Amino acid sequence: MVMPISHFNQQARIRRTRTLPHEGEILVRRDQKVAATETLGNCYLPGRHEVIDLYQSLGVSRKLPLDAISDRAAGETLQKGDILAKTGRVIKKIVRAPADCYIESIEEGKVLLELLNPAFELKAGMDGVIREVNPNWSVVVESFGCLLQGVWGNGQISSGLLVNTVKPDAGEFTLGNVDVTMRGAIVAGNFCCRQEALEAAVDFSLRGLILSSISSSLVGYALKMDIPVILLEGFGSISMNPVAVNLLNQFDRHNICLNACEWDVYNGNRPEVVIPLAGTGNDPREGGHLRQGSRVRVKVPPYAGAVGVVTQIRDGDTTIHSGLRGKCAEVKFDRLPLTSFPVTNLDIME
Amino acid sequence: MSIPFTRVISLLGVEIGSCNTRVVLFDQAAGQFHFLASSSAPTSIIHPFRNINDGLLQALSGLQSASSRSLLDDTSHLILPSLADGSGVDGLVVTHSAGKPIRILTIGLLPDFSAKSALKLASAIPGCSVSSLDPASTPRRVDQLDAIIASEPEIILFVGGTDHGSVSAIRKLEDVILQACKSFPAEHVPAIIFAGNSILIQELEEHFEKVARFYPAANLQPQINHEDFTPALDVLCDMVTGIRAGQYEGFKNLQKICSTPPIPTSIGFDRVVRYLSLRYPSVKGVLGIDLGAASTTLVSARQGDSEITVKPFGLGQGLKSFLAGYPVESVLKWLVEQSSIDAAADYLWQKSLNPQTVPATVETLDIEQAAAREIMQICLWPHLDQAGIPTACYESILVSGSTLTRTPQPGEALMMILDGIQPVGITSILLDKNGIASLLGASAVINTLIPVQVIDSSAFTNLATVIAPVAKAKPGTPILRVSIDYGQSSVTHLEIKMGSLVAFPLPPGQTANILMEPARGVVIDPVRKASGFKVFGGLCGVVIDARGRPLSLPTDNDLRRQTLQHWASILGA
Repeated sequence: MVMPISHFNQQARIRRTRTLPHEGEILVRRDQKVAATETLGNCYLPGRHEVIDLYQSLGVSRKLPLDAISDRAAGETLQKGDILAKTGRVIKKIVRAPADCYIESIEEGKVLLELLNPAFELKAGMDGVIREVNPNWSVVVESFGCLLQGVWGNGQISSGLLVNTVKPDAGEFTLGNVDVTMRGAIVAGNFCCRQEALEAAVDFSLRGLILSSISSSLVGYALKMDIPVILLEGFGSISMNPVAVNLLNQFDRHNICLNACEWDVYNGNRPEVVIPLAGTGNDPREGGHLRQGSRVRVKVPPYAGAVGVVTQIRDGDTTIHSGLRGKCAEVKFDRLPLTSFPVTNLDIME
Repeated sequence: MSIPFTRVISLLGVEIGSCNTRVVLFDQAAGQFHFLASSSAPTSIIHPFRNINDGLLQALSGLQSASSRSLLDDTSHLILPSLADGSGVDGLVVTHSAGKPIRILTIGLLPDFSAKSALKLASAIPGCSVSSLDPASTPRRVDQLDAIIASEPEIILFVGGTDHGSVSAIRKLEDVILQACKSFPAEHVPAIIFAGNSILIQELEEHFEKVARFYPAANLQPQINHEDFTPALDVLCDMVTGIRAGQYEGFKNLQKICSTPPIPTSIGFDRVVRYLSLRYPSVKGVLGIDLGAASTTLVSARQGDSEITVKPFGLGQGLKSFLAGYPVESVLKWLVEQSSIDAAADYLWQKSLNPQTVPATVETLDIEQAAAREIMQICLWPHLDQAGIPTACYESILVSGSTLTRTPQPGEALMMILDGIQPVGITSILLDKNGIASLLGASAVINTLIPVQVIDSSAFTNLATVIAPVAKAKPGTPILRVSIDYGQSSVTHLEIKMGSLVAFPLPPGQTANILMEPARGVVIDPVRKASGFKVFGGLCGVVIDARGRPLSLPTDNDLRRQTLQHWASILGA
């Protein structure tokens, strides 16, 4: 059975394509080094429209020819305050552009403006080197290092020093796990069920949070936070998987990059933690066959977050505890009994 | 190579669902088409595969094992047409609902007429995110422009004006749409379907020529109070299928070898429900409900005419929109065990991240079944409203979707349906246990005998005959006296009290005569007036649901749990 793979690699080559939502300008060049929060390119997103009646605004007769009051034409880009039209009398009346805008049309003295949104900025998401540039559209960023992929992110990006609070058998991530010495750091913690812990992360000016899971009741708050939050396991009280715990321990106090984007299963954009390291690495496999010996993680209860090794994939369908039937695999864990799971509930980890 | 439809004796159906790709084999034996076998595998349109081939091949190899028939050649290509040694198939039909939501914007002239029709039409396709622009409530041209641009549509469905009716209002709207199209970057210009006043087609075609792809369709509302959905729906279906074919590798190749163009799953499902409504020619009609992973499809059909509603709520990807729009507390009320109540919210959110997972424990199965009840409820009420039906009073209800059809016990499926749909009157419940309904609908184009004969061959399982009388009485008040005559002098008499749920065993294939004496003010069925009739057996027999409509649960938590447990025990759930 072919399945996508979640990566928890100690050393890999990480190549990510960053694409503008609309055609725009790429600001970086090939082989340029970039930081996670650096802007790689920008574009304007379609903005709000406004109509200005030049005759009415100036208080002049419509019999006046348009070129007597304005020399503007469709297609021009204006900055806020630029003159749109004016009367030529001693006491001048002037109509100015209300914001940075683009003139879409001028008809019968009515000008249709598209107000330009602040430019959309395409961020690198990880420290690396630009390897490919597709002018006006996209770039490929490459980095070498440790990669941990998450399942949920709140849309923010940052980088900073990793402070790991997760130890094997760690309990809930609480207010007590955060203190003033962590200011400016990215803190890794276990599952979090209390909003006060997330509030403390903001209050102590952390640069980001890597958590195993949060209570679903905290989703709304986490989405509003202006620091990145990445969940490696999901929702509920799911402890951090041991592979992630080892990697976070190993790279404690290293500089890391946090790209807490939303997981888009169709294009593969996924929340990620990248820990840039010297050296090289191989491209991790994106998909693979579930087979005997595969290292897997359980995605949903029971044993959500537990990591084990497939010892057998059963032929045909098997009845599981819920009474449903499906194709199952037997998984051997370090500390749990050998258990059978529906294969769809497993995630291959590499 | 295609072969004449009349010579199709074996047919492969492929349903590309948002979670699973299902393949179904129909074959002819003794001159009759019947369901032979099915198999499924996870749909492979997600990263890193981004194709339909991996999932399809996996499902086909499962089907080969299940049917003991070779379907693929040495190069893993489908053998089509079949060979003399019996390998392969003669025909192929495809339905699809998978993929990133396609954004459709509907623009109609009048809110109660063309705009409503356009919205209804766009809401018939799964995998689409539909929004609408109402020019009446957004009168300023710039606001209309902003609304179009903000919705970033991939398709604009533009309707308005009866044939030879309004012209100037349509031209004004057209002007705004043209302006909006010019504002989009070239790669994001939406396709325009115009299904309005046909007199304007040529003019609009010229205006849009260099701006956007323009697809005319026959007027959705050629006359006031007369809707003609078929031509515009065909255009919309073709367009959605075209977008999907461009998105996923392998789709175009599959399209090339299909015996008939692929259609959205809901359209195939609709055809089957319409057929059933002709088969059971009652004014009550037939309801079809397909509870999928990403969306839920409801079809109400009466004597061949139907209303389709597709809502973006389901038990996989559809949980995300459900949880975003509805409080999770609405699900909790259907749960008995405290552990399930505590875990429900987190489990449903976790499931929304992992839509292909299946509930592995009784606790998580309970949570999904509770969510299924609530999703059916929130989808049903707007559908009934759209179809102009006051209550869920149908002759038959066809139920599809694995959450409903693959329960460990049939009573669990019935319990979800009774709670979620709350049928009124006398209704037979049919289960699409093999998930073939939409594919049967697709196959009707090849040979109308295929769905007819497959349905005749008991492709749908009779779950139960439900009798839900309408009564306004206090709980515990006798409302009905029932006698069930099983034949051979075996008669059961029972007094039904308000608030109760009663099941009579009557296995599939058996029949019984039922006689009911309602108390004063009690209506057994708002449409069917007979008090005595023949009932057919089902997995859950005959069930009298006198719990009242709308169903209300006790507010006291302990009592609510006891009540739910009691009801479940009656149906063996």
